[in-house]
Amino acid sequence: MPSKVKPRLSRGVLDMKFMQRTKAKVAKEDDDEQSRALYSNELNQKMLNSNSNFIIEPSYSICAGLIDGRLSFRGMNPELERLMELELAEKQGRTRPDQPKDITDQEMAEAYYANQAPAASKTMNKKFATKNEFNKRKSNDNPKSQKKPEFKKPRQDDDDDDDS
Amino acid sequence: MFMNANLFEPGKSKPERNFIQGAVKQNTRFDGRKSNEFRDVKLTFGADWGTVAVSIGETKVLAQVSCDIGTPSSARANEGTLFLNVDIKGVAFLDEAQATHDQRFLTLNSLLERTFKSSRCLDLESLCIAVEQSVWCVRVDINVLNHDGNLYDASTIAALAALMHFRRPEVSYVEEEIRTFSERERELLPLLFLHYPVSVTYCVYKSSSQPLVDPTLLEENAADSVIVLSFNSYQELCTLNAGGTAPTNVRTIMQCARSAASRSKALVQFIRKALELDAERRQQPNQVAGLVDLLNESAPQLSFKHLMAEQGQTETNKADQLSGDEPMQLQETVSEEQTTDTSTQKIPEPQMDDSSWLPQEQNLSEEQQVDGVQLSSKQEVPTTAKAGKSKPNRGKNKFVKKQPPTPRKQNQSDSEEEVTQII
Amino acid sequence: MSTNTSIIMPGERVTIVEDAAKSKRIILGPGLRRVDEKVVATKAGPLRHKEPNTFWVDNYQRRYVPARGDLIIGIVKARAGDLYRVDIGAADLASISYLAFEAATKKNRPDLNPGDLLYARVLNANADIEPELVCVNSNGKRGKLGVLQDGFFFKCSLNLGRLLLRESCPALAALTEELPYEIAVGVNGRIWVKAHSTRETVGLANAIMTLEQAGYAEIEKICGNLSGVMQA
Repeated sequence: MPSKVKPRLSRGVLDMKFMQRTKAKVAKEDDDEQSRALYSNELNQKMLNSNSNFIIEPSYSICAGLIDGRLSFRGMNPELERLMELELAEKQGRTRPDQPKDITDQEMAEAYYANQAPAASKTMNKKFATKNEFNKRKSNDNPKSQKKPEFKKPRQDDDDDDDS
Repeated sequence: MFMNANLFEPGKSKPERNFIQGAVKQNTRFDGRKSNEFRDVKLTFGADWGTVAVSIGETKVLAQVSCDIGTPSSARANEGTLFLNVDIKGVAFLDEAQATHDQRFLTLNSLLERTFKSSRCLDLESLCIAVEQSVWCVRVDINVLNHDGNLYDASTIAALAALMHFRRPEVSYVEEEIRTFSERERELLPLLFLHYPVSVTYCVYKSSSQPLVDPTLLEENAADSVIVLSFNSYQELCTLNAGGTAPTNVRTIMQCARSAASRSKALVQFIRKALELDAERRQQPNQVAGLVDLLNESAPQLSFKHLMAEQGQTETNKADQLSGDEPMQLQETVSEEQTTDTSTQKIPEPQMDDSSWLPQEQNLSEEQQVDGVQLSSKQEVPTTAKAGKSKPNRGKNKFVKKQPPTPRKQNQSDSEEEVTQII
Repeated sequence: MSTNTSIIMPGERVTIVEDAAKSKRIILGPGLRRVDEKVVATKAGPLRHKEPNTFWVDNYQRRYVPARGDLIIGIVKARAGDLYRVDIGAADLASISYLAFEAATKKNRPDLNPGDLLYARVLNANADIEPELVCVNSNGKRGKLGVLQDGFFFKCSLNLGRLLLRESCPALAALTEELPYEIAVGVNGRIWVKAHSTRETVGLANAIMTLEQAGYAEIEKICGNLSGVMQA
């Protein structure tokens, strides 16, 4: 008959450096065991096992579903009214309407290829090109790339797009 | 912690105070009254003699007079005693802080003592049965049932009405033995009065020069200072209670005093009239209200506005009837005054011709505390001078007339009028 | 909200709720208490039910009992160390930390003085310790909470405060027709109003105070009559 006693780790093992976490866990288990033993005569089975169907909620505002009491009407406090509007929108489950696009996806794709935008692939290509090819291309490229690449400031809205 | 945790009383937050200050500046009051308009005063008499409930708006006060036979003090061996007791604890929401509560109680009690006891409104000598042995001890218990401002006026009206309503049994003193007659044997006797004082309360605000009369609790708590003036029906000043932080100038006080005098007079008339009606009602059987009716407000109430509106129409007749107590000439001056007062708003009082007396009273405003005796004596001097210049002013005449009918005042003037300052 | 108004008294067993609890989880609001498997009322008043599973007693009361999550109006009474003591109309003073305001740090303290009005949320409410308030939401933003400036302030019954805050209550909307205004209603029976002029504020406050005595049906009538009140 196999013994039901849980195997315990020896103190020597637990004192080892890499066993610190386990040590804490074991200590907690012991504590729980003790407290359970302490209160066992006061806690009855009913209290332990009854999963009551009642939840106690002492707040009227939550029970009755009261609205927030801070309100402003007809422009008395614009800041507050903005907050109220936001809240109302949220409640009605409406998200922020999408910003109208200045540039359609179609246009975007066209511009992408027109610019031969895969710039990264180009630069990577450079790395692997032989010196000869590189020089050749450079001489070819030079007259073409008259226009100096410049940094275009992103629109402010572009940042927000990712969350909508 | 528990004791001072409650701020149910209105007027304790900054917005309330600021708002009231602003409203006073614009001459708006919360209940739509004008700054010099009073709330209606209602009197209800109970079944017993000397039981009166007074309500001024939501403020309700119950006064009960009782009496027994006791020994006089050795200093005044031939006088009965008058004891005034105020109980303010019935108002649950006033438990804000014990200190404030006590202060309120003390202020009210001292006002009543000065109005009724120090001014000697009762003829205490008539309450003497045997010198140095037995006198009547009259006791007035005033219970505050609800406080919505102006407890002072409500209490003084209640106390006066209750005292006037009260009847004591007759006694005989034969061969060292006191015999008290029951109501069946001999008719009960009313108390004897020398004069009839009531108070009028004003609130002064820093933001406005116009004081508010008959303040609600909100107005009272938000006020910078409260002025309580007690006048009797002869328009003599009995008490002046001025305190607080608002600078009060002579003109404000005089303006208050003038209208308070006429108001007091009207109030006393009203109480008399109410007493008459009550006496009529008592002639009929089963018409007397008990305490329950009193508090239920099912008992017949006698309203100031209602009674005095009638009064206005029958003013002249009334004056004849009442002249038993008061000199006729006085009656007339005041009835004029009073009708102007109650009918319409007294527009910023016509510039008083105060050049003659103002300089002399300048020191009063410096002191912030006005001694009633000084006040009346000082007025006397300039007004007579005024009369010499033959520029009659009604307001002043009133004060001239105020002096003659009181020769008895001379010997008691030290206790007649006195003033303290409440902070 | 169902309109069945069965009045229950303290100590009474509330079987409707017990029956409902057999089939689903039930939320017991204020005025109801579970004793073993029984549900017993602790307050007197009409029993209210909100779908799907909430029950509570809507008793008339003027004394506020703090509950976590309530939005209330308090008056600052004193400062004590790192705390302000605030009167919220409950048995005990509440406390609010200096740091419970937007953008407040140890150096940058909010400037509150005794007598100031606060619109705040109850963070902690327990019978044994004094209630704690906050003036920020969980993101550290002010939102609608904070100090109420100017305006007028008055007290009413807790019921009136709750009545105004019901989603279906027509009162505030009806008043909007009359004039622009700003209002803060605390569920602790305190109301703060602000309109453009003193006169309008007085009218507004009086209109709301008359609602105390009014039934639900009369509300619109009174609010519509506001213009009449203000001319008077």
